[in-house]
Amino acid sequence: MRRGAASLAAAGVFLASLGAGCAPGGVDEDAVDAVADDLGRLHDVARPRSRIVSLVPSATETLVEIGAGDRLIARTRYDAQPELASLPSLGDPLNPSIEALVEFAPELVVLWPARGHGASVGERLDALGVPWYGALVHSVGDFRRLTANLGRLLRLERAADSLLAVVAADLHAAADSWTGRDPVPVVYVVQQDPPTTVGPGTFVDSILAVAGAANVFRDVGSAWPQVSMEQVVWRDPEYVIVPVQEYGTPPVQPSVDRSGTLVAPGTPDPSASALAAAPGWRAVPAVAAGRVISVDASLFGRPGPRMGAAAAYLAKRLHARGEPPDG
Amino acid sequence: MSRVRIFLLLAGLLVGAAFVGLATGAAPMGWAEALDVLLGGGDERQRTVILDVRLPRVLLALLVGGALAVAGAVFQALLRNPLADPYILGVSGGAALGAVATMLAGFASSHWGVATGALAGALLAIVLVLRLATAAGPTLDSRVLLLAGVIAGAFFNAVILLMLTAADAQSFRSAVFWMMGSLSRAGPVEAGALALLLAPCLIAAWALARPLDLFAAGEETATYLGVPVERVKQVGYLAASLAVAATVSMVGIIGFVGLIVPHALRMAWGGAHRVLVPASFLGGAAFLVLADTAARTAAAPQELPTGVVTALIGVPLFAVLLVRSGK
Repeated sequence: MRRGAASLAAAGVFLASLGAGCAPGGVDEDAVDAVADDLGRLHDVARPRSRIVSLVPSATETLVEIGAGDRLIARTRYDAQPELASLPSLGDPLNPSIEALVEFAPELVVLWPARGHGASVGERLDALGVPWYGALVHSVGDFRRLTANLGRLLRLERAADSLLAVVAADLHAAADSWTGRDPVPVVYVVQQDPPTTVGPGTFVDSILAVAGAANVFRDVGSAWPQVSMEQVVWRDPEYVIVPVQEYGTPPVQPSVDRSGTLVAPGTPDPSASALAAAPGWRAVPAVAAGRVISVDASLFGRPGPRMGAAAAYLAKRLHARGEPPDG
Repeated sequence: MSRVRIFLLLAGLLVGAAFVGLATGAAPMGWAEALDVLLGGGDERQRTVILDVRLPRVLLALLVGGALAVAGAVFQALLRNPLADPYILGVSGGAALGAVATMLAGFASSHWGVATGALAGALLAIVLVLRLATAAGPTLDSRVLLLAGVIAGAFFNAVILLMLTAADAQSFRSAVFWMMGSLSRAGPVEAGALALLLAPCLIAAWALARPLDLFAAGEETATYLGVPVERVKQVGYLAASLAVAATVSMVGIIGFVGLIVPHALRMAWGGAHRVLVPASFLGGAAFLVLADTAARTAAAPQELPTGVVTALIGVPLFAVLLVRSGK
C-alpha cells in the first residue's frame, strides 16, 4: 500500500526529529547569555520577566505547562482555558489592542511576527519600548525551540525540559499504539466550502501521520490546498476528520487527557450531520456511512503541549481494536 | 443570421459545454468512461463522481451563468449604462450581509441556513433600493435608482466589515470564502430550487424584450411609442434583481459573466432584446459551465475560485471583441 508506506515514513521522520537537538542556528548565545528568538533577535536572560503577555495560543499553553501561568497578565480571545478566564482579553492575537497591551506594562510579550494592519505589532511595540519575543511555531521542532527558550528566559529550564520529555513520550506512545496496523486513509476538513484540506509539511499532517492516519492529499503541493469535491470522492478516504472550533464558549468537542482517553464526551457534535447535509460532501462514501470524526480544532491547530493528546485520541478512534468507533 | 440559427448555434454550444463539463474534472476519467456513465454504465465511484458531484455542479453553473447574463442584459437596457452588471444595484451586498450575519449568528455549518439568510438580505436590499429610488421623485428615475443601488451597496459593505472585525478566525474565513463565490455548494436539490426561483424571472425578462428595445431610444420616445415606461422599469428591475438574488444566495458572487456576455452577444448579433435575452441565457450558461470546468481542472487536484477564472477568460475575450468591433 503506497499511501500507507508514505505515511509510515512520514511518522518516522517526524518522531526522529523529536530526538534531535534544538539549537537555533547561527547565534553564539552563551557569550552574552542571551536567547535568540525566531527572528534572530537577542533577549538577555538576566532581565526579570514576571509580567508576561502571550499572543500565541500554543505558547500560552506552554507557559502554563512550565509553571509560568501566574505571570500571565492578559490573554487573547482564543485562550479559553478556565485558569486564564479571569484575565482581561486583548482581542485578536494578530491584531491586539496595543493601547491595552502597553497599559499592562508587560516585561515580555510573546507574539507571532505577522504584518497586520499597517505596521506589525512588533514594530509598534518597539516604538513604545515594550520587549517582545517573535515566535514562529509551525512544527514540533519550532515547539521544542520555543519551549527551551522560554524555559531559559523565565528561569524555568527544568520544567521546560520535563515538558519536552513528556510531549515526546506522548507522541511515541501514540505512534506505538497502532503498530502492526496499516495507516487509515483520511481527509482533514479545514473548511467545508470550498473544500479545503491540509497538505504535506503542515503540523496537522505530521500529527495525522503519528496517529496512524494517511492523509489522502499528501501529494498536493501546498500547505492548505483548496481541493475539488470530486477528488475527495475519488480518493475515497475511510474517515473524514472535522476540526470543531468553539473558542470562548463551553466546548462541544470531546475533551481528552494526555493518553488520548475521552474524559468528557462533549455535546453532540453538529459537524457530522452538517457534513451529511452539505451538497458535495454527502456524496463522499465515508460521510454517507457516518465515518466522520470530530476533533478539537485547538488540539490539531496548535503545535503545543497537547500535540501528543491529539495524536493519541485520533489513533484510538481510527485503530480501536475490536470496539466500534464511538460516535 | 436568423434568430432560429443564432439560438440553435448557442444551444449547440451549451450542450457541448455541458458534456465537456460532465466529462472533465479532477478525477482521472476519460471521455469514453464519462459517456459510459451517462448512458447508465460505469462503476460506483465513477457514477458518484459524475452523477452526484459533477452533474449538479454543471446544472448550477448553467442556471447561474444564464440568469446572471440575462440580468446583466436587462440592467444594461433599463439603466442605459454599459457598465451595469447584475450586482450594481446592491443586491449582492444585501445577500452578503444576510449570509455573513447568519454565519456569525452560529449557523455557518448550515448550508440552507446561510442560503436563506442571503436570500433574505438580497430581498431586503431590493425593497430598500426601490423605496429609496421612488421616494426621491414621482417616477422611477434610472439615474436615481443607480445611485440608490450604489449607496446601499456601500452601506452593506460597511456593515459587513464592521461585523467581520468582531468575528473569530473561522467565521471570518467562512465569510470571505462565501463572498468569493463557489459552485461547490452544488447539489441536485439546490439546482432544482434555483431553477424554480429563476423560471418566472427569466420569462418576465423575455416578455419585456420589445419594450426594452424601445428604451434604447430614450424613455421619452418609448413613452410616445406607447410603452408603459414606469411599469416596464419596475417589472424589469424586480425580475432581474430577484434572479440575481436567487443566484447569489445559492453560490455567492460570480463576477464578469453578467457584464461581459450580453456585451459580447450585442457586438455579434445586435441589440434586439428578443434575440439578446434568450441568447444571453444560452451564452451565459455555456460560458460559466466552461469557466467552471477550467476552475475545477486547471490546477487539479486543487481548485481555483470560479469568479477568478470567469475574469481571466472573459476579460481577454472581451478585449478581442472590443478591438474587432472598433474596426
